[in-house]
Amino acid sequence: MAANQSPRLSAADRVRADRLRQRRREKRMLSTMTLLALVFLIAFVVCLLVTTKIISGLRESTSQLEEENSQLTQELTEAQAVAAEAQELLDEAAARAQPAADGFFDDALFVGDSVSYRLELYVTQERLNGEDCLDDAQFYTATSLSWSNLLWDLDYAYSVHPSYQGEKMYLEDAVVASGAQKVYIMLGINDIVGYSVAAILEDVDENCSRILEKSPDVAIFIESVTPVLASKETSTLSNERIDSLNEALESYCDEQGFTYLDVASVMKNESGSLIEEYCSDPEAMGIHFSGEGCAAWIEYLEQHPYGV
Amino acid sequence: MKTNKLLRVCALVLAVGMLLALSACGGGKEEADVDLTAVMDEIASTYDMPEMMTVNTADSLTSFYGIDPADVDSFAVQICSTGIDADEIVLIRAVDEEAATRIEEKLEARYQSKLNQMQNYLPEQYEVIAACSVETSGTYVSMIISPDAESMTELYHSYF
Repeated sequence: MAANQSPRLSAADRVRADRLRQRRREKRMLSTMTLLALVFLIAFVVCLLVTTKIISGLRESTSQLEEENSQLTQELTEAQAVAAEAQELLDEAAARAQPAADGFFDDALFVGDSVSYRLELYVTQERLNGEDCLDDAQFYTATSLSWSNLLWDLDYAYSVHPSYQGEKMYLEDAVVASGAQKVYIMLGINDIVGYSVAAILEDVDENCSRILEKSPDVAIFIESVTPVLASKETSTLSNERIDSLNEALESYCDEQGFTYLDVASVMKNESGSLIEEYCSDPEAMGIHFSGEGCAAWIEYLEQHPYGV
Repeated sequence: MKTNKLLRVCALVLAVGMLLALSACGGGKEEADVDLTAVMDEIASTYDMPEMMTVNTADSLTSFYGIDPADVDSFAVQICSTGIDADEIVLIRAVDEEAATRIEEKLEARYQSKLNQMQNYLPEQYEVIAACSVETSGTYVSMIISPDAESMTELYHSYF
């Protein structure tokens, strides 16, 4: 009976069963297709995100590269400017190391005490003899002048201010009146006997400030204080004290951008005192120069216009 | 009448005489024409001086004393070139008395300046300067600074 029941399925049932199977297949296929579509969609989105990320990264890298390139270009430009400046300084240093050109001292004013007054007389004598000596340099000198008494009042009864062309005036006014662009100052030997180096430097600074206040564009050259004969050294006027003042003057010039001229270097013997042949007053003070000493001084100025 | 005429003649003679006398007094004697270089040469050869520098250009008169060359007729100047001796001899004849006054002022300023500079520096030189002076006579102005200034000045005066 059972064997006979199966074939009893009607055709309609078979058709229904086939349709059912068909629907199941279609459903599976649809599910599979949907799944595949989702997978593709996800893959596409992932790809899109990755691509965007890559493009963004590339853009960032390009921007960074451009920035780096700009920085490098700027650094290169700066380096070129520094190199040009360095070359200019080298050229200037080379020029400064050359001897003074003709006319270099035309706009110079020499300021000093009796040591410089002696130079003024020597230069005048040379010029009267028809010699070219320190071009057209002018002088503002006085015996007993010092950094200190330059700061006294002009109408003080004992004023020792030098005269410029017959008129007594302050240093800063003489610089203006003379039209000087270079001011050479050798002072200090009259200060060292009574003042400490620190006190002298205060007066040096005050005098230089007064000059620059009225003539801001002038170049200041400070000459070292020249030595004394060994036999004329005293406790207050010794070559050791002069050297200590000169060291301080050199440092001061470095700080202020002034030129330090070590005239003393060509006036000293091995022991650091004044060369005897250069001294005109060996029996008196032992600090003033003979003609030979003045010539050595001028030679130094001409060969080392900027002290190098 | 005769007396009147005589009186008039006498008055006229007297007036002329007075005029002549007055003109003689007013005009004075003519100023001597002194060769200042000759004076300086004699001073230099007579006295033992330190190393001196002869200043013979008008420009130097300006740079050392501030004297206007236009004020100067003739001059002879010597300055000690050691820088520490005060010796300085300046003999100048000005173009007129007004110019002489201006030159005198310049030399007085130089004199005072030298005096001040030496006062607390070289007392012996200060004493030398202090014993000297600037002198003006007519158009002639002088400043003789030397230990022998007194006799040098006498020598200078002997040329007038």
